[in-house]
Amino acid sequence: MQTVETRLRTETITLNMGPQHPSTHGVFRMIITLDGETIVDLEPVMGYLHRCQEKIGERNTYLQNIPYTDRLDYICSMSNNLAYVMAVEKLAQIEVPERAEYIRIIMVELTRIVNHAVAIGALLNDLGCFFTPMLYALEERERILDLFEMASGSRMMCNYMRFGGVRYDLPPGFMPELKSVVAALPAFIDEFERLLTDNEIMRIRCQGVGILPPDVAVGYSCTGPLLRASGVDYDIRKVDSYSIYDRFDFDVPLGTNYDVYDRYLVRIEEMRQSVRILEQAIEQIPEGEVSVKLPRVFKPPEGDVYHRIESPKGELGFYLVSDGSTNPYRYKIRSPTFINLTVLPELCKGHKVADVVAILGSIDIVLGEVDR
Amino acid sequence: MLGLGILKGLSVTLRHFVETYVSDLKRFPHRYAPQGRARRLRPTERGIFTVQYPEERLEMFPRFRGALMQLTNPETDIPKCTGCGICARFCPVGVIEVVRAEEKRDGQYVPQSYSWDLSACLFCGLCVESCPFGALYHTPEYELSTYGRQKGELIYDLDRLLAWGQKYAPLGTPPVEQEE
Amino acid sequence: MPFLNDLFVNLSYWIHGFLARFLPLWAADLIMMLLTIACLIVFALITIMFINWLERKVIGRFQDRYGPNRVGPLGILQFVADAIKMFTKEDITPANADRVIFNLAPVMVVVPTFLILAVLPFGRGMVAADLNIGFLYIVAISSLTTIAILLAGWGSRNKYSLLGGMRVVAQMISYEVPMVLSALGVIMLTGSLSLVSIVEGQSRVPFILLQPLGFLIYFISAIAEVNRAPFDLPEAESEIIAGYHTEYSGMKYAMFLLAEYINAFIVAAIAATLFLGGWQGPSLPPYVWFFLKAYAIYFVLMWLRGTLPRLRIDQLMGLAWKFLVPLALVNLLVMGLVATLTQGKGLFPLVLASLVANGLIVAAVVIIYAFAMRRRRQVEVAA
Ligand code: SF4
Ligand code: SF4
Repeated sequence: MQTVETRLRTETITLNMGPQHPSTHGVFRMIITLDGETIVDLEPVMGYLHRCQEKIGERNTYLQNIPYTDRLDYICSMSNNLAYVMAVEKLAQIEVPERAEYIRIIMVELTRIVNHAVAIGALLNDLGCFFTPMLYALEERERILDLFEMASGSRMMCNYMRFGGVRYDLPPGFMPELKSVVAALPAFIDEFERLLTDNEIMRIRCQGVGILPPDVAVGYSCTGPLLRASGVDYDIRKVDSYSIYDRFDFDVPLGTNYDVYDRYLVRIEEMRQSVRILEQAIEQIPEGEVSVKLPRVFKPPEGDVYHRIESPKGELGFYLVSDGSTNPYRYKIRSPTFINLTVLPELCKGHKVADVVAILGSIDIVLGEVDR
Repeated sequence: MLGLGILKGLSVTLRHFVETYVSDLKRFPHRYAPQGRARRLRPTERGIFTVQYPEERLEMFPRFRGALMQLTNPETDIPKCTGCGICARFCPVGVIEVVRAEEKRDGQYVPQSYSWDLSACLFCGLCVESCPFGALYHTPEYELSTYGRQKGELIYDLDRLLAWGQKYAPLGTPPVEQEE
Repeated sequence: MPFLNDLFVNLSYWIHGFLARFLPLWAADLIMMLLTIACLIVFALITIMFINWLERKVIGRFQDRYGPNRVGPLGILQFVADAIKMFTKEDITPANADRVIFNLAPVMVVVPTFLILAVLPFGRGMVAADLNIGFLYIVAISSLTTIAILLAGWGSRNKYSLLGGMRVVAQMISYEVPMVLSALGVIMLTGSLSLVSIVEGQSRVPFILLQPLGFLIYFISAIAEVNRAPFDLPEAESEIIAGYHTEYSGMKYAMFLLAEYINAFIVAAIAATLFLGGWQGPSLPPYVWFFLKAYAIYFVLMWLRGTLPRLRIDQLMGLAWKFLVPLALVNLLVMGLVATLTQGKGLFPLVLASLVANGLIVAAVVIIYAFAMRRRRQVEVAA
């Protein structure tokens, strides 16, 4: 007797999501193997936005690299500036004046709020909201970008930090404006939460989706909100307490269920903590110099240096090798989202197509930084 | 739970919906800001957030990094620029080209030619920052598109840069210094 | 204002009488029929243009912006610009597509929508064809859309389209069940499938007061029927680009768009007819009431679209089969009981009993939900 195959035999299909796809946040491609709508396998393909950023960095002088760091993660140019500038300062052992440190912290924390608001908006877009949360987030971002423009002259490509300080002092009228923006931020976050946190559809779409256990997260060296949503207490602001972060009182929110929803909650809570830091910084900011005088032709001593900061997306590090000339000999960027993205296949297997975009949105990538 | 969260979300969007009409009423009967000068909304203000661009525009901050301009020394009426070429050296993308003139004018070096290629400029401001003579500054100009790039419309020579300097900083002081 | 109230009906009588003066009666009838059809089609086209504009304006307001305001006053001519754009776009047929099916689908998708318009009572006496099986006709005809969309998804030879097409079939077939079940409650009360008699049956009290739960079920499943947010999975742009119409461009794409908007309006209109009393209403002319109610429901559709993210396919099916269908069945049973028990006792006991019964059903759902949640938590704690 022959055995009869009773199970319906089905074939898997391969779907190329991207490089041109509405929710890949740029040009990013995923080769997905599908069984019906369930994902069997996923392979991320990166590099469509590769711009030789690191090679260009070797050609440029140290100063000329600052505008290029703006264009890494174009949502948070200020923190990219800070990471690079601090690396060079570490290399050349430059002391930064007190006031400049505070200005930097203010700018970077504002950037964190911008980034998280946009990240949540983009996540909701991926979940299928018709742009409403995204536009509310962009409104708040606009107010903060106005502050950036006031201080640095440009909204997104700020190019504001310099070795040993910042480009210029804060303009007159900046502080009152900053205070009113910061005072209005909690209301914005509350409204955002009212719109989303309890929303049943949001919950069933996000809870239990894309679970990233702590050991896997550490194994893939994920950082940033992604890691903290997996319950690992690791915030470089606390661990290294670089710059003057040891002077501020803030908490590091952690996730308990390790899923997309936790990443959303962690981002919301980090926004609140940033507001706390901002309030303290506004109170403490001293008067004084904002930059130190450096020679026009800046040549750091020979040596190499790695400096990392907690950028809104995770650990952003710059590795510089100097041969004593005006240009770096090697200029390497450790970009957080590139490394966070490698965990994507792990997160997606067994989920539906619709979950892929949610998980991708919750990782919060900017392709400019992934591909550099 | 059981749709209450959805209702909460709906109330938020409805509030935004109503508030846009309230902000419309405040502006009534005008649709656009007076003289086309849009105002940035205060952080606590709500309602329509967008700026209706061609009809109304935002005013740029003094530090805004727009197109470049060359300043003229109002006393001697010659360009402040000495053609030293430092700005060209500092530009990360090399879009500035300067040639210094052979002979001085009024005891000052002047550029023989100066060109700035808008199409590849990063608007980073390093040129302005590096100029030792304070000759270069940003205009608040941001509508810089042209219909083609073949005719060299995007490459600004000294005369066009100086003309902008006359327009935006007739006294030879850039707006940011006037303010501070 | 009796003149205004029956404006369109009188107009049609007048034209008919005018024609009958020099034409034989059958010819006058024929011309009247053609005229009605032409009116309906023109109406449909105007509606889609208006709705398209309205939806963009309203959603713009939800998002703190104006929406289209460049073309014409308040952007009202935006659709002209859009139409010109659609017409002038290149009409692409993918090389590997199944040509016949690919070209047939956009036509097939609009036909049922126009057919449904025939039985909608727009006002007193304003119905193109008062079928005595009106509602059955609507259910039957609107299922045709499913086939057309599946054809589009299949014929495009595109994996996204195929996924979209598959989703449509699953979704539309599942949601038809609760939709019909909840509408049955209304039909039970009037004892007729004809939409006209359903409207007339609501002269004293709109059925939404008798069957709020039925209305809710109908509303949810109707949104899913026409693939609107939050159930717009077949064309989820963030997942599968544009679903079944990914490969379409130009006029063919416009057909899908047309069908989609008109369907959404029709669903709102049917909801108004079944539950809100259709054209019944004081003082204003009947057709005005009808449109007011239909657009009020349409506003809620837009509001939902502007607020909610979308469900996932398995959750969508779960909602239909695990929640809406049982609830609709219970609702039908209870409402049947109520209707029988209060028969001949006048209006007030009926309304009261219905509301109480609805309240009881809701309470039962809440209690069951609370139990389920507790159980789940216990399981989680145990695990
Ligand atoms: S703004 Fe930057 S890129 Fe543009 S000319 Fe000046 S230095 Fe060069
Ligand atoms: S603009 Fe300034 S830096 Fe550039 S050539 Fe003239 S003087 Fe030198």
